[in-house]
Amino acid sequence: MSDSAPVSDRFTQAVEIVRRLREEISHAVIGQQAVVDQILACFLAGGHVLLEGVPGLGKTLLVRALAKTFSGDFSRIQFTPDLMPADVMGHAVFDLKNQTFSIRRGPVFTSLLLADEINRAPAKTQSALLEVMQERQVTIEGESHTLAAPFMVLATQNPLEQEGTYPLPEAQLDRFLIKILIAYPSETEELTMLRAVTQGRLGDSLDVANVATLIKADTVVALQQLVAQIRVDDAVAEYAVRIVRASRDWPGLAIGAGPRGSIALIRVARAMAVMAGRDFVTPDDVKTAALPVLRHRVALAPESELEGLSADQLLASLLEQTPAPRA
Amino acid sequence: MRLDRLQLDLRPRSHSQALDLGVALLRQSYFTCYATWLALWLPLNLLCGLLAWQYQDWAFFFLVIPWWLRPLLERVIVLVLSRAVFGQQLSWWQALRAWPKELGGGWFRVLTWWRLFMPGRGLYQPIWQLEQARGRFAADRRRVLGRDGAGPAAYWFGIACVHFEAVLQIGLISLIGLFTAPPDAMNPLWMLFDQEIAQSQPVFLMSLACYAIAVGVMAPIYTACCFTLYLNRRAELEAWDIEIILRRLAQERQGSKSIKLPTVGHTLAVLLAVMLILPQAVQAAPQCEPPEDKKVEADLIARQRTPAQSAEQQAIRTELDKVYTHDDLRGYRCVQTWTAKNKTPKEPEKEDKDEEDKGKRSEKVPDWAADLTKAILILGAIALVAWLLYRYRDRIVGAFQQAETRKLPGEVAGMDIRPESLPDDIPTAVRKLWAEGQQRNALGLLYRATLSRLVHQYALALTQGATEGDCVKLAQQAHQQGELPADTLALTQDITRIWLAAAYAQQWPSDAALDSSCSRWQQTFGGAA
Repeated sequence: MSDSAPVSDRFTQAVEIVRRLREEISHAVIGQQAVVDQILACFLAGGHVLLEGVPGLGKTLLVRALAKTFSGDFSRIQFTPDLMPADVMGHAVFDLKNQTFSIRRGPVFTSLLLADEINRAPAKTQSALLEVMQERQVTIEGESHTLAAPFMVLATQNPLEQEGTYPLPEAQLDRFLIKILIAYPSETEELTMLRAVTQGRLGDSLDVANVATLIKADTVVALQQLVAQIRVDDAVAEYAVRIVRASRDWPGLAIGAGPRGSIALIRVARAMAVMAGRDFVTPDDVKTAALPVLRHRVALAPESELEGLSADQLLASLLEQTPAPRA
Repeated sequence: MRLDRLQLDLRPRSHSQALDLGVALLRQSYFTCYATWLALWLPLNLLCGLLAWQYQDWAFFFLVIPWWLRPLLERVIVLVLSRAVFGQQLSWWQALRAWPKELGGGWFRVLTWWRLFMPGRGLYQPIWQLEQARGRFAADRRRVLGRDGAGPAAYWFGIACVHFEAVLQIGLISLIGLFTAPPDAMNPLWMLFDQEIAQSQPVFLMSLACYAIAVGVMAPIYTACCFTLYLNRRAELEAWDIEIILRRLAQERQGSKSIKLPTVGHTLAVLLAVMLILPQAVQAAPQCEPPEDKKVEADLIARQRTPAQSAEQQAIRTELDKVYTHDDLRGYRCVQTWTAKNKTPKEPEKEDKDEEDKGKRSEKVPDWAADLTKAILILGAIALVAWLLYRYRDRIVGAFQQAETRKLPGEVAGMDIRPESLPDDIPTAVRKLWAEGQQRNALGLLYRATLSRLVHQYALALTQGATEGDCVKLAQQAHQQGELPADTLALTQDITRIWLAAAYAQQWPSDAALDSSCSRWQQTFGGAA
């Protein structure tokens, strides 16, 4: 995508690139189209994703496929209770030969970082990573190292085994642009996956060999910049604010989303507009983005938890009753 | 009682959920509840402790007093919660001052045999305290409220609370015991096992202090939970939830403008008229005399009444008497039926004669004639109903369609989509606005008219929060169910696309595109409203 091209041409190119990115990812990831779309939207919006789902639903594969589409680096950290911040960020080692300290960069210096089971690591390590996500720079031995763009963290959480975990506090959850719940694939998708994995292969996982590299990392940055320029009408922005403000005193919610919620809502809605081939955001984009953007920014009231309600259910009723704009 | 101010989300709850709700309610007003309760409870214990210390021979008696008077003290918690549940927050001082007035009714019962054998008293305290019920009426209320498992639920919850209190009390005694145990004693309850020490004055008072703390913590929880159980039972019996919904509906109805459409009333009136002309037993307006026992009862009530204290009370009494004359509240039913005018009781000696008469009648009117008449009448009735249904088919269909559309708003997210708010000829009006340069208004009108047609012709259930995409999705669903033609769906999608680009990106369609959309609109929906 050339920067010198007119805006409309650049937009057409961008839409085409996004379409092909989705196509390429779907070569490796079977089904889970909604999840792929949401991750792609977050990627285009330059945010970080928190994935929640049981093991074995293809989270790593998805990240590897995404990394391959743009010739980006990919790292994976398995978070454990003994993981220290230096294991993630990197540290200085003394070089005996040169009698100097040299910096050994940690796995965080990458384009796509899969932080597996982030809630297994102690708060210190979580905070260190979340700070990097926010600042996009790492300080080792007093020296700041800026992370190359694009940089995206995809952290996963297992909703089942809560024993011995350190749940992320609300303030830190807020740093994730969206939270995605990955469900089991449908029967047809699972059957297709089964055939693809077992057909003349030795291992038990899908690979990303079929995924073609389409763009360079620079193009990703250009794409993200273009997404940030997508037009948002005042009525749509007001709709986003209305939704977020409604969450603050909605019955059943103890804590609503902060201003960062409405900012995130518009960022993701912009990306969704591009994915839909539009150069402007509609209220539908905001509404589609609302659940993944807000579900981790609100806290349920104890009564709602007792009654077995989920944040998604409450937010769905909020969206149902918040008047949509008609400009 | 202002049910619309009720702070609870009413819905059918099981007794355990209702008890659980008490904790949530208590949490709302925990400060006032605990402050008021402890302001009564702690001084009483302190006083009894001092008296027990002073008069050692009567120590046991003084230690029992707090336990004995506890039900009366709990009424202050009910007072605070009963105000809080309707959104009125009393200060602890106001509650404390109002407490003496709450002590009437049921006190003898709760302080005597109920004190020992009725751990579920919390469910029934509000009957005396809040409903001001006394005597036989209160007994009836207790019976009704205690039905359907509510009474046993309160009973067992009371027993559970007593156990909690015991655990807390023993826990506190153990804690003190741990620190005061002699080096060779491993038992934290050593004080209670040593008979001499157990009966000593300090241990007595320590037990009282631990009891005071345990009950001080638990009593508001017990009372609040029983109170919400009581509220749940009343809401269930008196259908508070339905009343709240009806009130809300009434408010919404007042707020929204009425939609001019044929009503079900027409059809109902016709059917009612048909029913009335049928030769059935007529249930006339009940004007008959009450039966003898009811008269006696009414006289008794009239005699027991004291003279009215004020004109207002008299007016209320008159109003109440008028209400009690209603069919549902009189206690007897008045039914009129057709009976033979000259019917006389049969006499055994006339039986033979009757048999003969019957035989004679049978000879005059053959059985087949009676059956034929019956069949003709039944067929006639069926034909009449069929003809009426056919004659008024349009109204009946309209009434059912209206029942569907009445649920739908006349306004979706600030857009008035009522047919009467739109011009008669939409395409012409849109073209005119477009020619005048009011592009946004023109496209707004076209989109609004499309939504209006979808709602009123195809009964699409749009809601306040429906976005443009939701409207299209609903149209697609209606098409899949065969309720919306394909060309209408295609037109809806195209007009939505044009509207979205115009409304949120100021990207206007070409004149030709607009003209084509208007023509298609005319073909699909017709011009006139």
